Amino acid sequence: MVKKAISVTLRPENLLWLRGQTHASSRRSVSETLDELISEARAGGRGRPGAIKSVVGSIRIRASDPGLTQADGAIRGLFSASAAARRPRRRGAAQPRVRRD
Amino acid sequence: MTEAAVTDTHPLLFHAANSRRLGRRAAEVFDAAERQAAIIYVPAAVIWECGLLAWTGRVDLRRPLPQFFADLFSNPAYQPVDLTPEQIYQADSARPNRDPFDALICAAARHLDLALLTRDDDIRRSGLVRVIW
Repeated sequence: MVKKAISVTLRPENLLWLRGQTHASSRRSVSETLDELISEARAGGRGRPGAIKSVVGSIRIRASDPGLTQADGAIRGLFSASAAARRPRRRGAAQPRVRRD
Repeated sequence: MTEAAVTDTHPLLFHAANSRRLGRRAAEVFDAAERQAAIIYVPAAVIWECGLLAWTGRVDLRRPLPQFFADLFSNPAYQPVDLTPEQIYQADSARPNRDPFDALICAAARHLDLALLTRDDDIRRSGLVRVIW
């Protein structure tokens, strides 16, 4: 893979740490260590990231609403139904009958 | 050419579905991101909306939600935007409409000081963010 040269500015303590990491890991250069650290950060701490995958053409939108014009309403519906179920009963509203035997 | 932008939910889904409904200028930004010539930021609210739309059957991601986004973010041109208290304060103070997701997505774009890829007229009319479509 072709790498690009850039100039970076680091705090002295970070540069010292980076040099230490390079030495401890037997990497050839600070640049290589920095590149590895960025790869790991991109992978969210899961180690070396895999190949780049394009998501283009990988999903399907429901044929009945290809423009997703009803999508906002569908999501709002999820929450309004939930909110209605949880809404506290207003004071003065009819209470459910309790059967006393 | 726009070098960086924030995406709303529907443009990302149109792009992933290879749909022609994506606006021309938004499509150019996505094409540039595929070539790693532009960065598209994906707000946390967009990730959740994608999950909800998959859950309701509006879209079929063809794999679990985390896998879809792992695939997307494998391209460094796509980057997630964490939801922060600062964005919530912005969303609370300036909303384009009554949709909380739209408010959070606009707040992410404002936080990054970038244009938003969206066709949403409420957002365009609100003037909260610059819109690309």
